[in-house]
Amino acid sequence: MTEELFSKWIDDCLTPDEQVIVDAALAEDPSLIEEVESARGLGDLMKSEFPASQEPMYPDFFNSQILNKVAQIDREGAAKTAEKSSPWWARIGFAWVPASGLAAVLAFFAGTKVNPPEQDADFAAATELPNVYTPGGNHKTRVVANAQGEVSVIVVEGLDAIGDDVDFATVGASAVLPERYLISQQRQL
Amino acid sequence: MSCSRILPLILALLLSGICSAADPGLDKIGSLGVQLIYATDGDATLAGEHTKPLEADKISALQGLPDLKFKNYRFLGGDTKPILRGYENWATPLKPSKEILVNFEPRKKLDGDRFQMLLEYWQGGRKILTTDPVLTKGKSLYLLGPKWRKGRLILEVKILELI
Repeated sequence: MTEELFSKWIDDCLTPDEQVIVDAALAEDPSLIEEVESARGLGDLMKSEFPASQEPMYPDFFNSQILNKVAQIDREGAAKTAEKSSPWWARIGFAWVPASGLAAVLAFFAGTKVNPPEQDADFAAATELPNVYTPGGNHKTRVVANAQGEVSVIVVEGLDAIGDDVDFATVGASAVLPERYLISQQRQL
Repeated sequence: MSCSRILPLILALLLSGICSAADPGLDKIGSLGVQLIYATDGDATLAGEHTKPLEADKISALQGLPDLKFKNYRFLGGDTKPILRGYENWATPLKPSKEILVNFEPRKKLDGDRFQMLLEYWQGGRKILTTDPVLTKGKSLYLLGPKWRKGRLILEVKILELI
């Protein structure tokens, strides 16, 4: 008897044809019934100990990451399709026009002087940028990385301004504290 | 030996057993420093008299980043909290105020001194942002946050120690 058939037997999902095979195997080796009962017992134990489904720790962030990944896969797929569908000379198109212009400009500057890169040039596109998720929806975020591709700054625009009357030196605890904050404090006591 | 002497001994033994079986998720695997800075192109004294001047090396670090380049900075407050092996932890840089909270949890140890963390920025009891940056020990991650008193709040997050 195959493992697949054994699994279907445990789950009571055998077809009539499969049931014939199982009955024949059982007639040959009656101890199989004990194995099935044991496996079913283990399954029941696991069902009683673990919930059928469980929310991930950070559901909103988890979902945003999945959507980001799907979008990334879509982009990669579209890029590959475009690459395959056209020959290399078609892909280049008129790119040689600005390229030759750029080469001429570079040749000019190389002949005069070489400047160190400006500060902005150090903040090139990162290779390992983090996912950023803002549950509020109206916030815009921008991630800026340093030359090593490490994230340096996350800029968040559109946040509610904090009232000028709020004085952090004197204001007490905020009225609403996250439940997770309280649980964390209790856990560490 | 009388009962009054034996009982405390038994209790002590039991307690030591409980302590040794403590939750390993609460083990400290490092520490995270969170600092809050006020940045403005105007009058820095608006931040209040309880604030402190920012260290010179920090000012030059901030002014080297185009998005964080302001004329004046003030140090508002900071907090250092352990990074727990299996649980989240919270930093309150504006103690005793809990207006701004930073939640953090380790996700993945990478090569060298790099750690992927899950960070949440909370303001006024609301979660504003979640992110999962790779932090390198000793290197700062800045978050340019809300406006306040004609300036902006900048949050600095840095792994100070890895065990």
